[in-house]
Amino acid sequence: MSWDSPDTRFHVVVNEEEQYSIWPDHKPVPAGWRTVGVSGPREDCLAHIERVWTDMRPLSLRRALGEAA
Amino acid sequence: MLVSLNRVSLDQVERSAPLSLAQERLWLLHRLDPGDAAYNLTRAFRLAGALEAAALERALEALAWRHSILRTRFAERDGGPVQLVLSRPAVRLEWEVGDLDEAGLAGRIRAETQRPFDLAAGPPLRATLLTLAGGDAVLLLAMHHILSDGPSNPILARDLLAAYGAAVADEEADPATLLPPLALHYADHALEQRGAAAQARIDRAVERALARLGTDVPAMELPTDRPRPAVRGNGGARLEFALPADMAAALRAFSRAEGCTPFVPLLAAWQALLGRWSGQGDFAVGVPDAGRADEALEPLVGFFVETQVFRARLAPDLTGRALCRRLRGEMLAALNDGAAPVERLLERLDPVRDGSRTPLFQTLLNVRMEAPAVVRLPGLTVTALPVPETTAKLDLALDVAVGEAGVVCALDYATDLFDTATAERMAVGFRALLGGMMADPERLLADLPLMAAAERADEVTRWNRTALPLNPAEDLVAMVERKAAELPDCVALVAGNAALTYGALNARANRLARWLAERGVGPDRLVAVALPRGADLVVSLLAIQKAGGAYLPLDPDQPAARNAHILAHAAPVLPLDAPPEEFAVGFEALPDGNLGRPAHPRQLAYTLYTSGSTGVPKGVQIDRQAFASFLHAMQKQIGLTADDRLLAVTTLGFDIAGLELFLPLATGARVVLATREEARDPQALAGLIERHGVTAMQATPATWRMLLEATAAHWTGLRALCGGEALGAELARRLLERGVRLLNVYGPTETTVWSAAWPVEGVADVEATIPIGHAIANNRLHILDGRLEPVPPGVVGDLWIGGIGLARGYGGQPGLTAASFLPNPFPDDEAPGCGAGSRLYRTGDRARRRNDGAIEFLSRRDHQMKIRGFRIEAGEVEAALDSHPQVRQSVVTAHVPAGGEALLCAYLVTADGSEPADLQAHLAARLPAYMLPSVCVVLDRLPLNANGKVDRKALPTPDAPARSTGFEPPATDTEIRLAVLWDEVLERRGPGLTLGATDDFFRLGGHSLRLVRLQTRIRSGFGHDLPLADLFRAPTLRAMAALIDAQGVRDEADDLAFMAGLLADVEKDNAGQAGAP
Repeated sequence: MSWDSPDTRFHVVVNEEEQYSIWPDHKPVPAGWRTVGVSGPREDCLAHIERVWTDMRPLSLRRALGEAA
Repeated sequence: MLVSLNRVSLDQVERSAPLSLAQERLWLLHRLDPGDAAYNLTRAFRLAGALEAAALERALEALAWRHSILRTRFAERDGGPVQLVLSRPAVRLEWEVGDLDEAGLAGRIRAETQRPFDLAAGPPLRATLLTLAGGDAVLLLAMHHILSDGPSNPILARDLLAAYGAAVADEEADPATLLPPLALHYADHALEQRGAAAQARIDRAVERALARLGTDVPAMELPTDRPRPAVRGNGGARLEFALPADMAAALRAFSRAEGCTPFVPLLAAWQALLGRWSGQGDFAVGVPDAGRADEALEPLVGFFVETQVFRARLAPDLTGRALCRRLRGEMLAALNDGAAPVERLLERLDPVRDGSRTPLFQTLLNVRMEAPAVVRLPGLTVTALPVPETTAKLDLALDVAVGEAGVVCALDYATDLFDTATAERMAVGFRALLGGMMADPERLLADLPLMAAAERADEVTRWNRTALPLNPAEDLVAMVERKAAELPDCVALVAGNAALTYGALNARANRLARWLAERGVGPDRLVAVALPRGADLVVSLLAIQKAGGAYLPLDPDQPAARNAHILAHAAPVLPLDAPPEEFAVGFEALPDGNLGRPAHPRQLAYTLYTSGSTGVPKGVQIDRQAFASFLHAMQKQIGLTADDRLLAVTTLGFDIAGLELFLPLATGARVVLATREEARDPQALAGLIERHGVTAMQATPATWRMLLEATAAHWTGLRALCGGEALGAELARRLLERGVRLLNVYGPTETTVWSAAWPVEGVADVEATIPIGHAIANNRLHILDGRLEPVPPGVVGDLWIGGIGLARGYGGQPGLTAASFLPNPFPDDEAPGCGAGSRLYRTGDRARRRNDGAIEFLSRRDHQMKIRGFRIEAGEVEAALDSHPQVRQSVVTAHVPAGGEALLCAYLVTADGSEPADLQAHLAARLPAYMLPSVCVVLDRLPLNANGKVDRKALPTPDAPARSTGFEPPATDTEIRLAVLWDEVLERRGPGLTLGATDDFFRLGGHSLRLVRLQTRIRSGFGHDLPLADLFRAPTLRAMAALIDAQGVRDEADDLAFMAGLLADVEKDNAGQAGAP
């Protein structure tokens, strides 16, 4: 199944820095990433990310700045 | 006297006959290129034992008595070919006595394969007996394909064996009686094929084949190792490989289970390989078929092989089993419908004439169900010797011999197009694909492996070992501050008449940083910068970094609306648009020591807005560790020292300016800052280079070209970085001529300035592509297919970049970021930023890896053009344009007029501002016909955007092409006379059929045979013997007339010689007839 195919279904995935992305549901999720329980057509996944990924700073930076503040 | 009698008897003709359709095609190909040996069939046999050479010679003669095709020559009559069967064999066994060693033998065999035949002079057949150093002999049998074919080999071997046995047994026997005569001969077959019944049968088969094939078969466009020559060459080589025993067994088991022959899964794997290799799902493959449908033809030697054409239509959801079942059906249908000669299909399909490749199909699959024939002669041990394949009839041909002992494959490839390494990789791909399909026929073709597991792993990691350990404390600020401490009195920056030492620069930046920090500038806070190109621009950028903030370049030249949008979107803390003294009260009194602010590696260094595909700019966010790693990586590439001076010319709005301003400051070198005006004025730049002893400069190809145009200066040893657009070979050559050390650099803003670099050492071929090379330190380059799987070297894929340089994302656009930056499926811990949880950025660029591992950039996905069904890379056409001495610069685009067909448009800047008169001829000699631009627009200069790149959107819309539309009557005397010949050859009669000067011979029903007739008529009408290949390339009336005119007027001496030659020919013909019975 091609990445660009309109029929490809994706998972919403997130890494340890809480950066979000999408990944085709027929391929194993790469190391360091986990699914968040949302999957579907590409646009639906991206719309979900648009809603939940409100602070795009990596977690390590957020923590460092939070501690400093 | 005896000699001349012999000669006459040799020429005695027993009968004449037309050529079969298949022969006619070979005859035409031979006319097109008489020196071509691609259709030689050469066999070599080692003869160990007691050889009776005289008996062998008589056996050969007996062979030609029995098979009259072996005593047939091919003459021309009335512009068409005719086969003349001689009344007795003309074959001689030539003895070459000598003590050949193995190397000498191999060389002799190779030479034999390359020796062309003259089809008209005599039967195109040669038999040579070589004697070897060890005492053995070798029989070399060479003939032109017009006499024979693959399935004829066992017949030749069987009959030769029988005749030799008989000749040894009876030394007195007449060779004519050694073998029984045949009832039917090849000439009968050829004649029958021209008869009404056969024509009707063929017409029916053609209709059915066309119904199966459709009329719009696209050409196969395999990626090649070198640009495809305008006219295809015939150089070839062969790669032999075997299928592993278990795969051969699986092939048989699968075929049994599916109720088909092994041919079916082999064709499926071949089509799947070609589809994956080219990225093209629709193309045709030729498949030879023995073609002896009539039982009476079975004992005959001759060219009977027909080629079936199978069109591949590989949908993305096709499985191996589904394809096999479809092919089985197609094969049965083709068998049922009868043979449709390819030449007839071509007449009906009328594909776009393109001398660069064979029409209709460009690859072949031949499956043979037996081992190669072995000849056994009495008292002799005979072994077949390998004959090297040195010619290629097609781009690729795969021959598969399925025998009891195993499955042996031979891949013939055109050496103009492919390297051995590429052929080897295709062989690996074929095996991997076939194996995968046999192991799991339900898998999608697109998911089948194209590489063995080890090769796949190699492809991912081998060229990506780029680790450069990073110390988080060693970021830009730390590097500059260290240099300021080491070299306080050295000049860091020259801008106009002002110069700042490292000490002064650092002190001034420290003061401004304190002022900024007091106003809330800190980690991840932006400061907009809109300063002229002067010392304070650099001071401000450095101060922002020292305060912990990130800079946001704003170009005052950009439209106000765009800048307003960026400011609203990025929300900077404040703008800097003046010297500090103008806005910072008490600036001079601020402390000027380093601030020592701690910084996190992931906090932002800058945010840069680039144009988005939707027209809304997007803010690329680059963090400090990405930029620090980039500086270390580039320092590894170009090694600046305190003695270097880098001329900075690029606007801050283009991220590559980051290298020009900060790499020198991080390494103790000097920045020479060109003003905006100077950066656009090549004379001013050349002056700066000379005045300041500049040793390094980075610019776009457009800027480098401008500089080369303006001055003849040499810049020996100058480190020249060229990036931002594809570097053409011609520009590279011209730069190297000036003595620079050239580095081609590549990278999108999203991966921090540059991600790949390639030192250009030399330019061997001006039409070659300059690679972008390899990943720079802590970067990863992957070329992937649509399913994110790595493709083998040579295959075109999407370029993805990973590593520490990846941007955080697009500010405030999480959805767009998630769609562009994906989880990295190839994590490794070798380098920082590449491990588990890291990401890959999709560049949108198409690329492929060369056999030496270097990566070639091909085009933006959206710049690839499709014209009349052909995929065209703009870069390839541009390279051909640039190689014209008058062309300074070129851009090629596709233009689609309202309601019209897409046109290929070339925009040129030329030395004298006009289109060079010989430009079309120059291009026609270098490019296939379909890649010739329909429209050429000469401009004073190409429009550039603010970053110094060609602005394709600002190119003017071309006028409708003047050529090929509208009627132009023949104008010159030659055109008018030639038009008469065209009318005759094209059999155009009746009123209203006036020929135009721009009419195309092939569009008016001309085909190859008619072109031969035209060639004959031109010879008698104009007295010029024009090569067929030249006529082929000049298909319009005007072009052809120009070709004739270019021959010049024969002077009287030439005329006399011509007449004398004619007379001699006439006398020879008369003598031949007088001697006939």
